[in-house]
Amino acid sequence: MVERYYDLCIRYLPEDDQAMERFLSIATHFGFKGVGIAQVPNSKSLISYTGPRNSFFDLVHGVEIHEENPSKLHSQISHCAKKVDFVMVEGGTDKLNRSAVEAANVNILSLPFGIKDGGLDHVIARSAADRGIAIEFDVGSLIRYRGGKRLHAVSELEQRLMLARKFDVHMVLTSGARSIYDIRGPRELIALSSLFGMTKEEAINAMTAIPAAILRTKRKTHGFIMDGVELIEEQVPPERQEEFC
Amino acid sequence: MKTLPSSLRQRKRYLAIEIITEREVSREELLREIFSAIGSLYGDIGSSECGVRLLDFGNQKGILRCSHRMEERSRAALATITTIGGQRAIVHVLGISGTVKGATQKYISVQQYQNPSTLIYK
Repeated sequence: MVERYYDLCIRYLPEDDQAMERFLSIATHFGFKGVGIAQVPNSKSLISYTGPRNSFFDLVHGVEIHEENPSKLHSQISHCAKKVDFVMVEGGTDKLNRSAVEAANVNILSLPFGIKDGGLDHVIARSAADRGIAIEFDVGSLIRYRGGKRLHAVSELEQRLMLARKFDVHMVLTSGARSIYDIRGPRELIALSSLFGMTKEEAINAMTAIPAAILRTKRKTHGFIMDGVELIEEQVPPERQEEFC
Repeated sequence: MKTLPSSLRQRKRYLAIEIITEREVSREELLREIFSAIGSLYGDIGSSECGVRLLDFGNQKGILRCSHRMEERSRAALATITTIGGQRAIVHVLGISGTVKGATQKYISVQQYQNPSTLIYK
């Protein structure tokens, strides 16, 4: 079976249609089913690509919110949530992270590296697991940095993985690309994630099932009605099936 | 020194790679970048365990040899390459095979002849 790989959280927007086509051709060539472009809120060019869209390729529009002030975060999220396919919040300090995991409509929590009074701890991990918020595992730092900075990134990712496993938090594996040359294929991302101890199964799950689940609830497809309501397909017992025939 | 009989030789894996860049890169530039990436990620001991060697390179595609069971490690190291010869680049592993012939036939020649539409970079 061909996996439907997604790389959400690409922080790069091609400037024009030509760059966009090149970006899409590289992503398809690498074997992605879809990519998510996470932009800062209120940018004008949110859905401006006018070129041909492939029906087999899924271009996902997301938003990444950088907000230092926890009290302003909620209004920003509710402002953006209806317009995009997923909402990502960049955390930081403990207060900000707490406020992010408590907010409605947040899908992904992205945490920067090397913040002293912040990062992923057991409190955040537990509430993220309860609310179904995924934690972003950005291997872009392993690609871009060398030496000490990369070393710290690896150990921090290890720590996050331990917590995510313990509390059963959803994980999203992304390349966090900032330019067209930062994109990596799914197999490369799996290999990079193995550097900090993620297994192949976890990595595949973090690129296929979890992004698909995020998009399913946001896009309200596949029998989604509203939060907490589930469509159970009625199964006709075998003996009654014959009567219908 | 005589070549070891095939039963005593170390097993190998062959990675078919392609380079995605603006301009073409030379073999030397690529080699320097590969060894610097592997060296900085695994150190000298780890690099020697990987046993990476560039066998053939031309037309932005090449065959890279590495030790058996080190293919995922080598792939991770190749993914950390960001620039080659001063320009931004991606090293993409097209596929892995147990023989040079297999890697060439499966991943390098097939791509050129059967599916040219997927190779739009310029």
